Amino acid sequence: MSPRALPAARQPDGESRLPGAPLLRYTSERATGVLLTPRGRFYLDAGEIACVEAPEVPGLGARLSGHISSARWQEAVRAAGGRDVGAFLLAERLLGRGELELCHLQAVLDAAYCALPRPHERTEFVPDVAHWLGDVRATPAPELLAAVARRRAWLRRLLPWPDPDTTPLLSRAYSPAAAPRDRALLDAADGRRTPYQLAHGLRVSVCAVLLQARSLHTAGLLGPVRSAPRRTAHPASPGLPHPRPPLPAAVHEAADPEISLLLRLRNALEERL
Amino acid sequence: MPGIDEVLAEAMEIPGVLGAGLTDWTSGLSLGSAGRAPRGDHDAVAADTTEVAQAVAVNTTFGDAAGGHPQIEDVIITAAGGYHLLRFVGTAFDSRTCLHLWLDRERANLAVARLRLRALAAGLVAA
Repeated sequence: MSPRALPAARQPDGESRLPGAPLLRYTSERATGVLLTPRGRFYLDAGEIACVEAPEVPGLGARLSGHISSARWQEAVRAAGGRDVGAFLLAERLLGRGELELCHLQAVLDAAYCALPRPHERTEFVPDVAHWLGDVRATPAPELLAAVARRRAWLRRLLPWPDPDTTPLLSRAYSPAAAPRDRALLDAADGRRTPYQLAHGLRVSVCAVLLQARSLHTAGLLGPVRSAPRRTAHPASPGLPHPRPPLPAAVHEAADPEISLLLRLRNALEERL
Repeated sequence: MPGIDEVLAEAMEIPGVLGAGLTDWTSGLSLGSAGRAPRGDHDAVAADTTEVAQAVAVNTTFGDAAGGHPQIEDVIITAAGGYHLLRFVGTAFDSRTCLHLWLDRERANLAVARLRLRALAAGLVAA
């Protein structure tokens, strides 16, 4: 097995086919409305997925906020009357059609990954509700579900620690030669922020953060904050005692910044054992 | 202003082109495809072009990443089965996407295809 994971599985695994059953039901009925799930909302238009929102991941406005200021964005939403905002942005030439479609699709996949209902979860469908973005580029539900399944399988293979999208990341070493995009992630990875929170701050998909985390982890510059004791150390030295488990991330909020720094250094050193 | 479908349709007009696609190279997600794919599998093309894009985009050797976005323009792969051109799309936001063309070696002119692909990528972001 190559140490470099494939970025996308060719076959979604069986477990991943189960989530999203309510979504398929409403899409087969060619329904229009919004499906509310515990972690987000799926907006359907004649059975296709027009938009997906999940508070945990950055939405369209947030992703574009480096290009369109949030003040200008709010103004555009208001001027469009809170509907067909996508068409308004294009008419005002605030961004290109291709860019809008790209940004929208990436936001939709990210949100769907987060918001897809698990089999036991309660959902509610509210008919005849349209998303303020309007018609940008709708996605058929089976296609979106397949993409989510591939992404789920890929993330499991990508990073060697459990719960990769919810475990906070911590930068471990100072690297003055890091490229600006890596620098931004390293500066933000404070041991408290999860990949979702980092994605919000950096205005990119969680996937992008995790991909960067992989290469930075390989370079020894970043890693997960572990809250459980690790297993036995190096097999060549079976006599080593178990390392002391690192303190939970919350302790990094120690009032004294010196102590907080020492704790982070200690955790980083223990990670290297 | 062309959207994804229009750009891919235009890509299929390039002499010698066999297939085209747009990929999010952080996740391997295919954002659109047109024409044919090697072994008939557009998702496999997205996955493999993603591997290539990642391999070059994360290394400062291949681009001066001073602006935070990789400055790599395109990657050209010459293989027995054809030419593969990967163009990094320079969106205003950090999208990390690439446009891919698969070309027949006999019928395609690589230089022309590269310039047409450059124009297509620019059209995708033109406001």
